[in-house]
Amino acid sequence: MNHIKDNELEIINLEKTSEEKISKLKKIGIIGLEATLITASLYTTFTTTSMMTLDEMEWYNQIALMIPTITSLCETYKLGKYAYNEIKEQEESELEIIDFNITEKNEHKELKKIGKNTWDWIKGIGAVGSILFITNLIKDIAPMITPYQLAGLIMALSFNVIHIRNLDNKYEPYDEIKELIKRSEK
Amino acid sequence: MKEENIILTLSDGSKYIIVKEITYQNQNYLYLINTENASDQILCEINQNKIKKITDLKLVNEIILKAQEK
Repeated sequence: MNHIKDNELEIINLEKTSEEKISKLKKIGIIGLEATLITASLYTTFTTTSMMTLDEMEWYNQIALMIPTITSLCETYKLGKYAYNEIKEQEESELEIIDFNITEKNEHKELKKIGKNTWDWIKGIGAVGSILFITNLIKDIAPMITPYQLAGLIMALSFNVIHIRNLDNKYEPYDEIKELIKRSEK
Repeated sequence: MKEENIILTLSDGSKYIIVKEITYQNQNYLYLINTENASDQILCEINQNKIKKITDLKLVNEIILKAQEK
């Protein structure tokens, strides 16, 4: 007799299938997993931050904290951009029904949705996070900041702006996704 | 359970593909995607033939970050 708790489900069947049938769906799953990973990184960054207030941090620690935060935001942006462009190109090609419960068309819709959601998310988080972070930085460190430190801060911010702009023009899909695309094309 | 090319049918009738298998603190977890609704993606704990969806955000983050290390 099986004892299944309320929040548990039982696996009642395992069905082997071919790589071709699931590769594209798995690709969407990997994009979802990557998006979750970035969310987890941001969550960890902000949770770690909350253990020490900005007031307690030295200015260089505050700037150091911006690096993983902005990197995470860039990664999310890159991912959203990749997912969006991926389906944009494919949408223009002829659609065909594949032998599965999901059609190419539906898959594109899902990819587009994930891409758009990720992009909306990054814009929201980026805007709010940046304003809060920079406001706190200015409030906390502006009175004691030296011209050199201010120059360093401006350089760091400029670098990240340039980095984001470069991502906009030229982005590289993750190796894992590249590999999946290669396999699905065979 | 191998993460390649397997469709799982659960007791509620839903079907999922294994995207990633993760081991964290001697417990196996699966990141699954629904075959009929690609936006339904879940992280769950697996014990023999039973799975339990992980809803604790902190634990989800720990497990997902662990998956990145591999």
